[in-house]
Amino acid sequence: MKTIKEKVMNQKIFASLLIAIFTSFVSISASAEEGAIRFSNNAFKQVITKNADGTTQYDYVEPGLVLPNDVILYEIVFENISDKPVENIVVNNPIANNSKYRGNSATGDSTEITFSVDGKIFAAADALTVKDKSGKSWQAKPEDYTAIRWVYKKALQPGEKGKVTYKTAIK
Amino acid sequence: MLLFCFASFFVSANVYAAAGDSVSSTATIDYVIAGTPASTNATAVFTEDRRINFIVADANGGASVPVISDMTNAVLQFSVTNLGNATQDILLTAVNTSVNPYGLPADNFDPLPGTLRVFAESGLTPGYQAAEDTAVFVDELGLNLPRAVYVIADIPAQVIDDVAAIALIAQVAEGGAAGVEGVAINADDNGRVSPAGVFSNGSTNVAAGISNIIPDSALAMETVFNDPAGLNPEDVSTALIQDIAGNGQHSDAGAYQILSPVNILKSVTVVDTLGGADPHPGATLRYQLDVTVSGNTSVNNLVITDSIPANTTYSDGSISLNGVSQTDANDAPADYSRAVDILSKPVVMIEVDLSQGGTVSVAPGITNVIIFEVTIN
Repeated sequence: MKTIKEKVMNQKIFASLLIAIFTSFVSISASAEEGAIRFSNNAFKQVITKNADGTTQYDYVEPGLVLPNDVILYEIVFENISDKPVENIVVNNPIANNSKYRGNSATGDSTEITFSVDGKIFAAADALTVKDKSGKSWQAKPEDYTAIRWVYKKALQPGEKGKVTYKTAIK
Repeated sequence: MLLFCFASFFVSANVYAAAGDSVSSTATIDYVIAGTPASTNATAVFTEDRRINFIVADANGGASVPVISDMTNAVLQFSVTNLGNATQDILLTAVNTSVNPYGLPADNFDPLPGTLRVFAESGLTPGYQAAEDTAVFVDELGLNLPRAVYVIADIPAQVIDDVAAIALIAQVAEGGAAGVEGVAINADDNGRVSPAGVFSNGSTNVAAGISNIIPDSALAMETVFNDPAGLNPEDVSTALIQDIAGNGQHSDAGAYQILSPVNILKSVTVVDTLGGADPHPGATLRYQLDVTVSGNTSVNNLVITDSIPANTTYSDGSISLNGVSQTDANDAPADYSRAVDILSKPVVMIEVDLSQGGTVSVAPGITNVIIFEVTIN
């Protein structure tokens, strides 16, 4: 069941991605082709629809109308367009302005995901702390995160693609 | 407290003016190919759009405001809170409405024509100050901080318990220029419109909005009316028009209710012949009347009388006013108090003329203390 839902979701993301590329490629997304990696970063707004049969449908659309508390999905894709394996891949992404990270939303096959509250020290979610005004340390909450890091644990072979995603909520 | 809870309930995570901001996220990839490090990045950008959401709330403690007949500048207080994501100006108008938001007694009068006005709190001194609170619109309303707004009206001659219900209607306008009344926003980009209305004490006529649908764009800022519906009827028409959701306006209603301006708090102390507090025959009852004028208008010709209770006898020479002993005789202007029938006895009542023969008005907020004594037969 879960697999089917995710498949549906992924197709929708892919469809939306195509729309985004054809309609607003320059304005809302960017990809770079310098060197060995084709790298893209796209934002989609999550639209939740309750279906008549009681199921919930998640669509991901171009972020045309974005208001506070809307959820944004970021999809970052890297593709090896060279004829050699690419190694030691690390993707870093500071959380955007006006945005807060949604807990447990970061994904990435074959990656080790860490977070930071200061952009310098990266650690697993449960190992991050923040200090309050009195100097007392607390476990960091997802909205405290300022950056995410994905370390890709394999070599990316020629023609191979990797993808990482995460979600934010608009403040 | 009610207001506070209400506001808190609606406060969401948005805490700063963010509409129109470009939300930019740059991902960077570092990698090694054939032993050589390399790096590239990619940015996703879109614009945060403008949510217009604000509420007007009656701020008179959940009850009608007591006023007195013929009172000038009677004050109803409201609050306006911006729950959107951009600083806005808010235009204001007060209208007579026909439903008492607190139920009974039913609305049955209007303030004197032409006296209904609205002013926004200046922030200098809390509460309505005629000299300070002169702005007729709310200027640069930031997020989630309620701003007080005062409806001012003159009350005609009415009788006790008459009620005048008043609705305060607020219309969203462009912010961004301090001290300048912003242009009313009478349509959003999503097909929603404001109704027409006259605002800012009659100097601003907001035309009804024209439905306008602008395609959502990732980079342009769209405006969306997201305000809730009002909770009370907002005009005197038989249609009982009520504010609807998503129209760039919000309203709430309050009410004036005529009450006696004079409050008398009466208490009694028993002083028995043995120095205790047992009300046996021969014991003295000391009555105290605390007389206070409420509202903001002085009261003329205020005369207080109190009957001597049955089975008691007035104690001669026992009247005092604010600690000053009064004579029993009808001997104004020596003093303006007397024990009625002191010559023929028994004394049937005491009378204290706080107006001193009609020459003095009693101001609000001052307590006059009248004491007299009787003995139990």
